[in-house]
Amino acid sequence: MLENSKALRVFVANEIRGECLPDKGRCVAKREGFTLEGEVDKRIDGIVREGMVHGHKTASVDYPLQGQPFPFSEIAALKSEKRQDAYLILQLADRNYTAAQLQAKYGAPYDTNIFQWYSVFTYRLDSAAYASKAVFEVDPVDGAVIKIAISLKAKKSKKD
Amino acid sequence: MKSFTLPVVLLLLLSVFATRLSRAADGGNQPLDVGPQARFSADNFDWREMIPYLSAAAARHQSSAGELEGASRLCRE
Repeated sequence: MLENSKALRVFVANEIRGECLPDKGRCVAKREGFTLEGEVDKRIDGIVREGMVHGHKTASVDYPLQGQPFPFSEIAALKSEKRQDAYLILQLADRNYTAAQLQAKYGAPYDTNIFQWYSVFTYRLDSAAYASKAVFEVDPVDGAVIKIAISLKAKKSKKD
Repeated sequence: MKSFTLPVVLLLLLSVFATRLSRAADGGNQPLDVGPQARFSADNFDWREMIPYLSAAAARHQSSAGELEGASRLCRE
């Protein structure tokens, strides 16, 4: 999941590029057989290996996206070890992404709700095999998106 | 005084040459061009693109559960 997340791949690739700036001394691109994509895969494997936490019937990885200007400050992947569910959560780093941009991209939400201090915009995509939802937490004061949580639950086939 | 200055100047010259030589040696192992840092905005992220990967991760449970079941069946037999 994390290996295929565009946000994490771009972050890690930028980290590698940053290390190869003229004033930095730790450029891995000097190594024989280096490819940017290969190095990104390797580092994400390391992030998953080192960050994997097995909790109450879940396995999760939480990784901070810091040290460079980036729209997200944290990424987390979570997978149920009991059920066929998987989750991806992204924390926004600033308040530049707004509910208006969200709706311009995805259209009107399937559902909206207001909690104590934030609103949620929910989008969903269902197929015969799964039900997937994206929940965007929005600050009602300035309309800034604070967090994105994507869930996918596999549907049981009729044979089961 | 002169006899003291000459070795110091020589040492300085040597260190300059050594640095240049080491840089020249590095030149044979130049890093690949990894390009400039990519600009990425929250709007570049599309949650729908993650669905196949979430689906694969969720389905992985099924195979591990199947493997576990198979293993426990073997243990029972």
